[in-house]
Amino acid sequence: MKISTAIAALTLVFSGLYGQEHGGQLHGNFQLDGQWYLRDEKIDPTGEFYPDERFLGQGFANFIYTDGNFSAGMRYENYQNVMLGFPAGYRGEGITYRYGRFKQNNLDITVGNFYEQFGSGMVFRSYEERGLGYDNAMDGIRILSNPIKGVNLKGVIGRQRFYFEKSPGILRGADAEINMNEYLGRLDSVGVQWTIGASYMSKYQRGNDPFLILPENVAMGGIRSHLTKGNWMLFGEFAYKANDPSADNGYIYKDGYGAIATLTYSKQGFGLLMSAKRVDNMSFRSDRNGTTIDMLVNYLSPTTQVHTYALPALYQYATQINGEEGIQIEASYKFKRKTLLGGKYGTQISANYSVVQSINKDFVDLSNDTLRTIQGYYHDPSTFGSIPYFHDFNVKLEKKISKDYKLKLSYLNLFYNRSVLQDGLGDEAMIANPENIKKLNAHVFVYESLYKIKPKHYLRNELQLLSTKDDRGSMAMALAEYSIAPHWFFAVQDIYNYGNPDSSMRFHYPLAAVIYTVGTNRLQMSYGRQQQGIFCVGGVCRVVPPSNGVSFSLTSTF
Amino acid sequence: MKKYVLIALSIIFTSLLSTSCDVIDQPFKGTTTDTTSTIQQRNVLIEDFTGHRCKNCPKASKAIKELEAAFGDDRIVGLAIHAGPSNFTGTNADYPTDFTTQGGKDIQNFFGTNFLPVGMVNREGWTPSGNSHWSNYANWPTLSAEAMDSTLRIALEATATVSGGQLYIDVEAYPQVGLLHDLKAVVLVKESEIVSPQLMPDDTRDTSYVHKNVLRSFVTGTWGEDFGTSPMLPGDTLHANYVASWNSNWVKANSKIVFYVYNPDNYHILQVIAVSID
Repeated sequence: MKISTAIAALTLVFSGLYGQEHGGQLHGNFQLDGQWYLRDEKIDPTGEFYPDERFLGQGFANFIYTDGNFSAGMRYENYQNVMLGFPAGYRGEGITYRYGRFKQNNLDITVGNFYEQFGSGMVFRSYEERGLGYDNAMDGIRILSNPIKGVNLKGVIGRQRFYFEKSPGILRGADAEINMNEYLGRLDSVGVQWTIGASYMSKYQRGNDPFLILPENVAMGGIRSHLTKGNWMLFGEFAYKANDPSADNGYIYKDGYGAIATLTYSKQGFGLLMSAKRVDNMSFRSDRNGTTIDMLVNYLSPTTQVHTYALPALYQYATQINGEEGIQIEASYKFKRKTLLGGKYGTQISANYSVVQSINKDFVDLSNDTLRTIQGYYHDPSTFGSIPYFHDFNVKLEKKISKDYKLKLSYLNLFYNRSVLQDGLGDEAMIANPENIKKLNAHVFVYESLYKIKPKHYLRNELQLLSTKDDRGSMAMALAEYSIAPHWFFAVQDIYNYGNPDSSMRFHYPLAAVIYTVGTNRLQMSYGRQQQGIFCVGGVCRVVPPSNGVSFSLTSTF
Repeated sequence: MKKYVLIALSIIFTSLLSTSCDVIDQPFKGTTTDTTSTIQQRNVLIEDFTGHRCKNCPKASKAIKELEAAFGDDRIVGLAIHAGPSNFTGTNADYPTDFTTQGGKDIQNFFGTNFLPVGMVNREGWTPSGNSHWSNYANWPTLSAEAMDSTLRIALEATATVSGGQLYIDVEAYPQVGLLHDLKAVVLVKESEIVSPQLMPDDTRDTSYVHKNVLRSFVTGTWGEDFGTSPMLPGDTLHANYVASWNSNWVKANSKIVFYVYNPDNYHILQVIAVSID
């Protein structure tokens, strides 16, 4: 921490001195979140989630200095203490991100922290998702180069962030991407744009297990292709990972594979997307013992739709890194204005279907110790898996009724395998005891409207209904948001879990919020009650606790 | 221009070629552990945070059992601390036994864990803002092997007797190297062979599950008592006695006294022993 502090201090001093002479720019942003927790005996009868501190707060600030081809930056983070629902690993305060970067003669060099991605991320993706408390930033060196026209190279080496520490494994990787149009002149003449790429990532982690011979160097490689012609686009990526016994896969030495393909078509008023994915044993972390969201090296993009409405978002799909196969098809069409279905302002309709299930796995008997450890299971790619994980069929209709009134109507049909997605249960256990699989089937209806009451005054409403007999049962939600541009925003919301199978748990979850914005500063105050949830990844579960309290958030940019 | 291109290319491709991939055909090492030595060596305390409604927790218990089998239960001292969210540790009609203790909850709160299963091996790696003291059960063999290979800094002895409903404990310690920090001593009771339901990894309830190494009670305070003052040198002897009420619900034959000393500056455990109760 001392070294990073020194670098950060030097950066700021440098920005002050060098910037005055050369006209560099310093910009950044700041955010502070806090919550004053109230004891709520209904949702937390024993008070086990009620924090001793009563008030929890966390914040960060980014400072980025740029001057021509040079830039440097740092981020300070502070958790005192980390708010409920975030990973408990965030404890304390410090400078967690600092870097220097310069570009010169086709070389782009970064030292310190950086985020990077190869292809779709199946081999390597270093990124931050602050809302989830996820940050696997690299700390090392990155070199980007464009040595020959149409060729882009990336090279990285370093270690990943692990809260306020570093992962034990070292990552070394490279990525090359070639624009084939530079070398195949005929492609341009037939209107085709074609890019191919290859990526490679290796981790080194010391292995000192007294029982197992562990691979200390584990490699993953991938190839990809991106083709466009007219309104069509086709993307595909395939990746292979060598033996990598880990906490995720139960310490088996089996290879891993992953493939993803996406086809899109779009023209005015019409869009089509089709994607397919299969992954088999593709967990890749810079610590083989890592769990939950810690130190993931790669990213397996979901082939399901991400919902922003509150009730369907309670049952969001998460990619199963140990193996899954799925498809997604989405189509949208806009009926033109002044037609029978388009009406005066046009009508947009879209439909999406996605389904994900297990891959076919034939597990080696536990009595065969060596084969069980080396292979784990056999996988037949020509056969579909038998365990459904998730499906989502939804249709949405958007229509502008008048110049002051827009509405959106949605229907979703959801299937959600709670054993897999909430409890983190493995395929072998579900195959052995299929009757124990916990499922959720739900119908969701959403009405959303936006009224322009008068200039700068808008009212947005949501009515949601999640109808199910499973899990916590049916819920209804109502939301009203009133905004007065450009400064004020008011919102009230209530979720009522009216269908909870336990009648004593049929609670209301109200929320009220006020936001004031002035310039680049934004202050939010809210009061609300939060439902409890369980978040499981790789066999380890974390409780997202219920809470009740007054929270605030202050953001500022400069 | 060409010079920079060559530098970039050479760095990228050197990184590619120099990072090999180890392909393992035979994953198991032969057992070479000597369990016959009578000289005290550094032992390992594995604090296993667990819960009877945590489906993956039996895997952690099994990992301790395998380590005990390989190295001996005198060198691997398991301690099952039932603490954490009530979703995993709470009681209900299916899981009626309350294994939680206030001491266990205090330790869990202090070290900042909120997921299960997770553990600590001699509390190595603890820092106020760090997470390195947490470990997955799969990493316990590695961490235990490394701890057992490290230098013993203080040797421990203890005797325990139950008489007239009281538990009498006598402990001694012998510094093996100069110790330039104070020490805290912790004494606790753990019990094994307790049959009570446990949620299993296949999501079934095992009503005949045998719970091992369950933390029952601290004889000292949770954070121990002052035991030695810096400096302590080889040749010194530290001594203490403790008396506590014996809970008649505990089966003496299945119980042990765990005695460990730690550095209060960093909570690292210097040595631990587990002894039977007479």
